[in-house]
Amino acid sequence: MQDAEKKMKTAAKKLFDDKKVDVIVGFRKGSRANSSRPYFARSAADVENLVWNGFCTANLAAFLPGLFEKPARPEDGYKPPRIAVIAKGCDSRSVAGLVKENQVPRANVIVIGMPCNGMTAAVKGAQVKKDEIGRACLECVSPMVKDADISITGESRKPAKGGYARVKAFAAKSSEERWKAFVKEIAKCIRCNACREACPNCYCKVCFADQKKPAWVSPANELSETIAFHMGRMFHQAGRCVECDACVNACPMGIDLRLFTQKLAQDAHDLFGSVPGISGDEAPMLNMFKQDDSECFITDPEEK
Amino acid sequence: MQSVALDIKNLRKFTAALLKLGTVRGPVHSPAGVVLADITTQSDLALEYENFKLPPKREFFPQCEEITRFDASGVREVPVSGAADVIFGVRPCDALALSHLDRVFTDDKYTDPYYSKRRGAALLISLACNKSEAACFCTSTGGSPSSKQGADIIGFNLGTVLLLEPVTARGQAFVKKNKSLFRDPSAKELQKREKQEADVAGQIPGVAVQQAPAALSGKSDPAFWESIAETCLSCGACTFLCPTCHCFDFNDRTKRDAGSRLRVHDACMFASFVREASGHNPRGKKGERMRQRVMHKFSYAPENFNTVFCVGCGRCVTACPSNIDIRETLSKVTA
Amino acid sequence: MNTAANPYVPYKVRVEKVTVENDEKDLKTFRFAFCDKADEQKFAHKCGQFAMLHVAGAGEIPIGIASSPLDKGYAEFTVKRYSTGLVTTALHDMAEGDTMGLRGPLGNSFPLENLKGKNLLIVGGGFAFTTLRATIRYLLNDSVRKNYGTITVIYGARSPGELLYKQELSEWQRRSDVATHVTVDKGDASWKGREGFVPAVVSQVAPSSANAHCIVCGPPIMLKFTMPPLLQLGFTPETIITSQERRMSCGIGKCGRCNIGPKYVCKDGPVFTYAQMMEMEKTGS
Repeated sequence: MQDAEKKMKTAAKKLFDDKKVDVIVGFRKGSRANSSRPYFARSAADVENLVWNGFCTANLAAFLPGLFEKPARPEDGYKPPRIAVIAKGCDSRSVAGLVKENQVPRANVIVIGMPCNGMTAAVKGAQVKKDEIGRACLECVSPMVKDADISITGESRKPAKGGYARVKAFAAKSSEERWKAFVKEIAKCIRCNACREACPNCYCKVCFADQKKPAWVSPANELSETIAFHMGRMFHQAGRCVECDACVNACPMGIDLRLFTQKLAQDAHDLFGSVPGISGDEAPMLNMFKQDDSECFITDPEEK
Repeated sequence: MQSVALDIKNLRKFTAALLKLGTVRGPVHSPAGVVLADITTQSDLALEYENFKLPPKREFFPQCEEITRFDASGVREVPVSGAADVIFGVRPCDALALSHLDRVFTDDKYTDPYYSKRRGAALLISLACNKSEAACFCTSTGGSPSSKQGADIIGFNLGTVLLLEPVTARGQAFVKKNKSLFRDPSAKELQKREKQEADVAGQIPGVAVQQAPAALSGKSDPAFWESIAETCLSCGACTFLCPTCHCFDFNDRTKRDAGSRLRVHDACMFASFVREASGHNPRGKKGERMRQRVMHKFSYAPENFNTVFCVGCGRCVTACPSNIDIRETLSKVTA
Repeated sequence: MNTAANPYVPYKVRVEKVTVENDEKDLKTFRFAFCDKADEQKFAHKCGQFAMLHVAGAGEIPIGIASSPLDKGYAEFTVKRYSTGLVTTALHDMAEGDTMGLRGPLGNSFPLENLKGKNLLIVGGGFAFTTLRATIRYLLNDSVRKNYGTITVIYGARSPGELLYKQELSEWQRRSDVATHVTVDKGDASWKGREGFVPAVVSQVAPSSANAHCIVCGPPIMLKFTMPPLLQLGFTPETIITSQERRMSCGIGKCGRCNIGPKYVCKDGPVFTYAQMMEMEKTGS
């Protein structure tokens, strides 16, 4: 790990020295015990602050749409910045998704692929024990960065088998039981929007939940509104969620959002053969129509 | 005021005395840890916990509440509901925060009936901290692990004994009325309390809070605030968990021809917070919003209320998904 | 309904009259009558104050009071409709006879009591002219006019069709006890009046700053460019009085939204001197 950090810093410094980037999105040491946090290195001198360790949990791709956002009054000759991102497998899958959705110009991104052994889950809820790697990492089918521009070599976690065992077990329950479990989990929500803001896919300029005219959802933490918010947000993840758990780690209330978003990931995989950021689809799953697309989710949602 | 001692073996009797006052909320074990919830039986009360994840302001200023109802005939006030008669076990930092909120919700001109009625209804018994958490910095914000401000009675958990010190006349009256439950504390117990207070306070590192108001008045450089805020996600985790944050918005909810007006917590960190219908946004940038939050707590509040609106509970430090740490921000401000 | 106890409960009012003010038809003046006569007494306002207009189901917005405190039996508000604005749209859909809510009066006011014996310059631009109209109506009342020195009004809009309160403007122009200068950015074939931006007209008219105060309201860009000519004429940051707008929810200094620096526009304002404004903007936005 230390070796990887050293190599990463060397590569990062070279990027600044060669004037190839304006900013490197990475991690620096956190202020909490055993933590790292997102960091924007803007010069060769800043590179010293970059770290790579087992606490680099956040999905850094979430910062890219904002960094690429064109200013309201761009100066003459405005050019989008050149951004390098220190990427785990999940970050790189998100970058691929953002490129596909035209939120990030691929030519302006340098993906520095890191060897990933799994990251410690942010411990805010009761579901993960301290110093254990998160569920997203335990179940990660693609810890390796595939489309890296610069690859930092090192020991990496073996890909998990996949198979959505937990979702399947949940899906086997009766719809009443599932609904009860869903509502119980969602009832913890305080509507702080941390899940949304931490998610690389939630880049909408105005989220449906913030629209006033018409107002689809109110910001009140009444149960029905909260359910509507999460359902809306989750369904927008169908065929796009890379299962990174950025939402889970950001949630101050420790809500197990993974169980539900992963169901959508499973459907994307089982029904359409799509694994966002991995399967190499030419377009986002929901932007494509194929003659043999499954329709069972419409005609018989309880069956597979 | 004179402290009294409650032997822990009499805790159930004490809880029964509280329950006689009506609705009691206090620390209760739950799957998510110890939470502030209704005490229904005498055995519910938990005494070993750090602090509640959610700030107790929500007892008086719920995240969402119906304030009026309307239909074709007009608008009617919704009476205050959900007021507790006793709130037990609030930590001293959070009690201090309530005393700050009291001044916001009741000023020389307008009284917020919802907050003030609930606050007036509840006997507030705080519980001094037996240990500090990693993000605590109450000793720098005008409080301490045993500060009394905001509470009617403060309790000290000495293991086998709960020392109770009345802070207000109301607290005194409760102690007097239930004096059969209590005895005079021994000199040893009083010593133990003193030592515990000093020990816990001593564990808490100092943060540059007192120098902040003066330093902040000169911090108007947008680049400074952008650098603090660049990894901010513009979520509301910090504000919703803050015990002094009190920004809210109204929302009308209608069904056919009738509806109600809800008061809902809002957050100055949301990009939409001050965005106007015309599209104009006086705080459109992350740095501007960060500046607002920090200034409100450490500059505007000292100017308007002569105290910082931060009690050092550390919730925002723990909750921020990007680990933007207010302690570090203050040290940068005062550097 | 006990509004004294609950500052969030509005008075019930009836839309008595709706006047379309401009060619674009996005500015309407609403005249409200109080359904309970006793509420009118409670609503007694001062020039420069605002109120929250509540359209049930849509929400509430802060709007300056456009009628004079001496206009009895009603209160008037001029509101611009934004296609993105929930409440302004709902309000513009209201018809005469409809009922809605009114909460106020809120905020401080122009310090007219302290300005007795002074000469007054009143400068307005666009639809920020509403509380100034209330002020001029008040000042021109026979019982009030004698308490003040000269009164000069400078008012500008983008085009002739965008001028508010056209009939009153021409009435004022006919009066000898007020000098009324109306200007438009660009006139049309039928326009015989002044052309030019407000700051330029201020310099041309050049009212004396001796024993005078200026009350100026307008869009931010107009305010920015009007300050230098006013200062040039000898007005000082302390004798220039302006009014601010911000998004608000409660209107009574609780909801934490409308501050500029340490001051709440709803409670400490909306009226501030230019000196106060500069001080506030040093520490916040």
